[in-house]
Amino acid sequence: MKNRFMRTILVLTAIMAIAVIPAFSGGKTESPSEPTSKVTVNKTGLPIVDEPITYELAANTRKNKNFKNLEYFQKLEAKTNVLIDWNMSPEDGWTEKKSLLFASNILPDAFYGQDILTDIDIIRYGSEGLLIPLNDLIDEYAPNLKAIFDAKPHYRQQITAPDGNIYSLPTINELNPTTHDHLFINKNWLKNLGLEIPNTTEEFEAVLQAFKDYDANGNGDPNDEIPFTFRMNANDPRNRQQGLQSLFGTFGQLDDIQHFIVDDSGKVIYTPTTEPYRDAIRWFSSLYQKGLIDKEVFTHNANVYVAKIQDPGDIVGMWLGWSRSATAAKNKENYVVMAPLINVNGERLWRTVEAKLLSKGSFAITNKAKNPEVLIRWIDQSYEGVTSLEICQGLIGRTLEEIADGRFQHMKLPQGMVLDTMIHDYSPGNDGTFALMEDTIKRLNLNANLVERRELDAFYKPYNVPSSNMYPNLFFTEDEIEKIAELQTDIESYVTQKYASWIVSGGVDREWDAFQKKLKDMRVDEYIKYYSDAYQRYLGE
Amino acid sequence: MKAGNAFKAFKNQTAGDILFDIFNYLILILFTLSILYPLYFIIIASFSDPVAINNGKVLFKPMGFNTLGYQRIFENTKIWNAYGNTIFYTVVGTLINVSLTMMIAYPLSRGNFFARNAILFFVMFTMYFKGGMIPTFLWMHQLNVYNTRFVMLLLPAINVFNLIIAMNFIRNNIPEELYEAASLDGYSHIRYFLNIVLPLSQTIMIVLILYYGVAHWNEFMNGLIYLRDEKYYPLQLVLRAILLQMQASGLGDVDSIIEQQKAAELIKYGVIIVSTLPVLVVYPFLQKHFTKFALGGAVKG
Repeated sequence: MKNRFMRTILVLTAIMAIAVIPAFSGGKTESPSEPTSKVTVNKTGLPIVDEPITYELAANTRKNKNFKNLEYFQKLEAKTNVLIDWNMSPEDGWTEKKSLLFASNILPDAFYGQDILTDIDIIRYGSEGLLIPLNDLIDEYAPNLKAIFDAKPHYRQQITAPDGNIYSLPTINELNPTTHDHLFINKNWLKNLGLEIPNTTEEFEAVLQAFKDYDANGNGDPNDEIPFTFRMNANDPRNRQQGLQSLFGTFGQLDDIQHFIVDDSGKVIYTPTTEPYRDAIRWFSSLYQKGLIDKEVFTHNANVYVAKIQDPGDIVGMWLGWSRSATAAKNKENYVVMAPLINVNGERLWRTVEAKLLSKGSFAITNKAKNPEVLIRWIDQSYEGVTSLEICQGLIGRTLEEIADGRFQHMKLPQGMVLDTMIHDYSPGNDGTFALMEDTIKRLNLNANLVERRELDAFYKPYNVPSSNMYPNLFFTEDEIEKIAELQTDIESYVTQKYASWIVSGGVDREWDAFQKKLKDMRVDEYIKYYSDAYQRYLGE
Repeated sequence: MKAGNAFKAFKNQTAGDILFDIFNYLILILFTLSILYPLYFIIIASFSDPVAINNGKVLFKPMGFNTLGYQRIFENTKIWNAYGNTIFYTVVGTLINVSLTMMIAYPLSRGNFFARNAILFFVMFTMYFKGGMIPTFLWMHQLNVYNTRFVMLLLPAINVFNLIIAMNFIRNNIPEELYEAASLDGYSHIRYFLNIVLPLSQTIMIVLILYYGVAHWNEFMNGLIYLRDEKYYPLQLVLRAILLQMQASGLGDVDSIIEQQKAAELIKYGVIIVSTLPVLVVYPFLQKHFTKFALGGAVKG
């Protein structure tokens, strides 16, 4: 019996081996040499090529669109003679799909769209030669992009990889706000209670105390008011935009989402190792202990957060958010934006978020592409001012119209249509690659949403710290990324956990020394050094 | 079995027995409610105002009744095509699954089949060690089934776990004597399989249909990786895309942001209903056989 079993195993193994061998050798004999037809590329003007040429582009979509059907790309195809075979993918799952494309070396000619590649993709596949350097191609074939880089060199600086090459092109939107976390206060409640907008920590506390103790919304129940809410989700750092970072400025030093900031001398600082951080936590903790902060600030999700602020019963006194009208909806008239509190040095500080560079990995060409200059000329069309405006805010004639003096405005939309949908029905919009610069924005009559953003930005402008005080969105080397990832997991989760536990149950002074010692044991100095090194290299570029 | 007699025997019961029964039913009713309520909640939530849901005010009836979520789901034309695709994948795919599984389960159930242990070893091996995503992807590419409907039908053709269930069922429920009798009457293995094993395996085949069918219905990852053209996309992929599409991009005006926040929340509940309703409708018809199988297995051990 046993003998027979072994024999059949052997036979089956042999069969499998025979079946597998051709599968491997088959792969090698593939790739028949295509006849290399000479493509004549026009260096300027349109079309880019006289004979139509096809490229395969991989793109992902948050909006459930096939780019092939978008009017924007159809027009572009007709203009340029460059035909695109779109390999579309839904946004989630793109990560797996992308890894498969790279690992199996079945690459498209290029990748298109916001955040199509992450920093690590760009650095890793760039250094492996799968993505080609674009520096020379930009200088020679991309006049629009080059003009942007010449006018604002920090964009070139930000997308240059540590080895000095540019492997991917950016998406830039200068419509994006500089301040993401505005502090709103309920003006009706202030009026009902006869209070003023607070300017100092003492006044701030007194106002919150009054919100808590009295029936501020006047519905007869003094206990349904939430004096102050924000959202500090421990699990997802990206969800901390509505957190307390800016309010740390009350103690002389801001905090940031990853806790890295830069002081005036250009030194990189990790805030949890500093005294102002401790002072701020101590204060927030005392507010929490007195019941002046929403009990759910560390746990509620975005929907619950927004629902509280939008509650028809008007139950929130102060909150942090990016837009008054979009977050508070029907309650928007109740709230006014308020200035930062006067801090220990007599200043008012607020965060500056340089998020105008939306994505560093928005277009990259692979080593498979023949005549990459065609693709560079093709993408450079998107970096032209008005074209960028059309990609971002919708096509002229669909959502935008041209008025006198070369200015543009949003059209009145058909009944029942919303702008966001209309933009994405014809243009790639938020999926697309573009650079919407201040020069073009000046020619656009802003709609209510954009006006509000600009007003809020202008309100905080006097308080915004110089952007050189914020840690920039830069490239780390592959080595740094690995080392940081190794240290970050422990350090970040420890800091986040302590952050929440100190605010909720106190004890920051008692545990501070142990906290510092534990951070040292977790090699926080090394962690800071990688950030510092990358920053110095960035300054040098 | 005794359940029918329980009521007749009611008057003969002691007070303790009656008390026990009352508590028994009470617990069962609570248990049933704890399963039914979440389902009910999803239904009413899909018609309610999201602000009310998030503030915990929707409990027993919809608040701020509206059908915005369903409008957004069904105004997308891709969904009908995707429904068609998923029904096709489910029906044809399950047919392939069940026939292949039964065909391999029968020989493996026969103790005297010479390569049984060896084949079983290979089959079991794949249950614990998989080829990995990248080799499978390359393989699908070289078989030229990438971006075709075949990949959705053939890639999950046999599930080892289901195969083992089917194999054990045949071995335990169809006595060896039947084969002896049939072979005396001149039946070959193929005729015996078709005329005797298959009719006697109806129970297990229905269980297989349910397992495989639900897996096809919920298929997401294979579609995501191996399909490129939207016209082949299964339902789950399209529903997911509709859900994500509603996340506000910040590009629009304030009204569109508010409207989208609202719709996104409703769509979340609507999508659950749209994708599970057909399964909920079909399940009761298969459930009878399913229970028979599950209980039967328990009794025989």
